[in-house]
Amino acid sequence: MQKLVYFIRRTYVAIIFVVLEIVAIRYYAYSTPYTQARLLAGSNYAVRYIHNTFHGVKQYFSLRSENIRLTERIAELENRLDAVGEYEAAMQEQMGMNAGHRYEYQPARVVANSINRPQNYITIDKGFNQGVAINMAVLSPEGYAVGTIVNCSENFSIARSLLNTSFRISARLAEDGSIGSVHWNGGDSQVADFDDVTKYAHITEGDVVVAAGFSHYFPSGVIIGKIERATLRENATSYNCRIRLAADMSRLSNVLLVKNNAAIEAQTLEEHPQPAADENKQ
Amino acid sequence: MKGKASYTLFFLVTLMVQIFLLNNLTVSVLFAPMAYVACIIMMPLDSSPLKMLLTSLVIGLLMDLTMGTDGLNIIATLPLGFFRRPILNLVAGFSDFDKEESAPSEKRLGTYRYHRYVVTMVVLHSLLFFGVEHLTFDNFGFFATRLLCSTLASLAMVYFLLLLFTSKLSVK
Repeated sequence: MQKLVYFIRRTYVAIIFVVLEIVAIRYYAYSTPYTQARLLAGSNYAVRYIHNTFHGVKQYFSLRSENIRLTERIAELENRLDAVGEYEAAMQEQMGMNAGHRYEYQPARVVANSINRPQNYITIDKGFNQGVAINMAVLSPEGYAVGTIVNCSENFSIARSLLNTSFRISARLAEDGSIGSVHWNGGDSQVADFDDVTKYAHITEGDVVVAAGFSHYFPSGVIIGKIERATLRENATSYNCRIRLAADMSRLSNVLLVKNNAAIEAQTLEEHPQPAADENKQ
Repeated sequence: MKGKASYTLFFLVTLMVQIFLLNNLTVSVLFAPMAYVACIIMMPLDSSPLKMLLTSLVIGLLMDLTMGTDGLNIIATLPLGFFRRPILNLVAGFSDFDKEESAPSEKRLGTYRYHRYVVTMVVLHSLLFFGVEHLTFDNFGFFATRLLCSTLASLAMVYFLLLLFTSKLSVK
């Protein structure tokens, strides 16, 4: 009791202040409908702000369970996707179609890469044991053309880089469709030549140059670079273009290897363009 | 006795100026000078918290009755009275409340601290008065202009009254 009296003695001015202030605010608030409405609006705003703050804090602490729930959902959807894939494969098999995909992709890590020689090569950390084969295409992680596999060991492979004067790739203008050949002339590591483009092609600066798909190594449409300059040759039969390469060859740390499942079949057919009977007749 | 008479005269003159002059002054809606804050600012330094609170209540009530503001002045003056000691302590570094019987002055607080105290009290009062009066973020530009103009006008009036009476109030 004595403590209560002591407490009141110490704080009675503050209590009187709070009581008087509340009475004054209440009196002012109810003096006109306008002040009443404004105070109510202010009060609602404050309550909403506090409520939102607490809600945000509560949400933050529930992030862990939310992550678990999302991971479970992803796993469930992956399983469903697999089931759909199996169903699609079964349907294709029944219909006599090739069930497999034409291109298979697999990631690999670059263990060595040179850009300052006329003949540059890229060494990657996957070989025969991991399913890598000669002539597979090598793309940058963004999907830009980088080179092709030329040699494999059990666990490593060597790719001929786009920055290799022996490397040539059939290419076409993405917009116009005109074809040509891309090769590196040994100069700037970000620039290559796109030659033998028909003089009837509509070439403008910035046009995208993509793989033509004739080589069976690179999927058709893989981006090689963009036109920087186009000049008509002296005999005026075709354009020689300079392109800026899309892939940053100096910063390659990971690559994608592309296997064309139909390459051997197509190459065999191309080696024997006419039926065996026709060849015997000739 | 002489000191009490000076206070009474100061209070009366300040309240008269507020009620009969400033309350009826209609220069612009942006100017609403509140000179009566000087009464709270100039209360003797040894005034007890209860005395300060009750004086603020009476002044606020009187202003509400004459302005027809239904409690708005009390809302603004009560915190000034209640928090005067902490404000003096914080902005003027003054803590010997029981030793000083006279009004705050440049001589007692120091020029810089004294002016900081006066400006803080006027600004706090204006913020409370116009803040509660406006009580919304709509039309914030008008609110800010009115707050700024009225605070400057209040400061001018308060300093004018203080200049007139400071020498008389500082008698022990």
